[in-house]
Amino acid sequence: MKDNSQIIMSTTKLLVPISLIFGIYVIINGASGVGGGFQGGAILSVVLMFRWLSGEGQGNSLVTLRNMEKALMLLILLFSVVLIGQNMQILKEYNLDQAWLLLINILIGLKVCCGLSIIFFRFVFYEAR
Amino acid sequence: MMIARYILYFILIVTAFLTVQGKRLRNSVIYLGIFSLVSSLVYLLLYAPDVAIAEAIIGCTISVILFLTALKKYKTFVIYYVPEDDDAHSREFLLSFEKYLAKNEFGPQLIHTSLDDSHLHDTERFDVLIVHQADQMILYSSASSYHSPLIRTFLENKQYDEEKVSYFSLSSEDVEYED
Repeated sequence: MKDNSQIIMSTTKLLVPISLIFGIYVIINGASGVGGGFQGGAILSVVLMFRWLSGEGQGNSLVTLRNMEKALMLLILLFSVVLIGQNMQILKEYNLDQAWLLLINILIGLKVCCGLSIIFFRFVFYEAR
Repeated sequence: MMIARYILYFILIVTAFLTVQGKRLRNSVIYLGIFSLVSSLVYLLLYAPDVAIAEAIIGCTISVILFLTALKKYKTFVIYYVPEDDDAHSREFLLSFEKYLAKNEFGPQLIHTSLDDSHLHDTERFDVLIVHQADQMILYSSASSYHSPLIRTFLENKQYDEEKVSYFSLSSEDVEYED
């Protein structure tokens, strides 16, 4: 987006690292407190949007994003299905339930990030007249 | 705490009203962002911090960015004008049309051309094609354009003489039009 104003480009460039750290924090904090995969993933997708608005990230590939989203969806299903019926007993024995929650949160976060950015980039690149 | 919540409820109602009743789309989008931010604060006061985070991100950031991008894509309005015989009447018409577009926050882009209009139908992308011939203005709006309601309301508001101004909306089938 070359015709953006300098103010928007500089501001979004400043906001990129801050929101990236905030997104990662929200995902990780979701295992024990406020936050979670969905919210953190939405923040991460905002990072991609900000990068696009600041004039970088023009080469984001939709195909890569889509394939990543599919793979992550598969992984989430896999990890959930494996533990159905186990009643989390195995994990609790080895003190792994927090780690498992964290893993699932990270996967969900990345998947939501891919999904929302696909919506945005698809809209920006293709819905032109 | 209670009073703070009631103040926030009041702000919610005011911003919702401004969003719906606003004359300019861009201001409405900003009011919608404020609405989302305030409602996320309300969720926080009602002890739902998870929902508050989600509302703040989705309502206040993503949807506002999406709406503003959509507005930016939507707002140019391409006019092709074929002046077969140019006079003061047609110039006045174009001027008032451009004023109307500017009032509705569109950027009118007027292109004078001497090409044949049936050729233009096939090759060029326009929102409206204006052909002026023999004291009559003929408006064609393109099939791929989103703006035909705008043109219709303009013509209804101005109440032009039917003999002087006529309007056709082209669907994708009758692109090869014959006069």
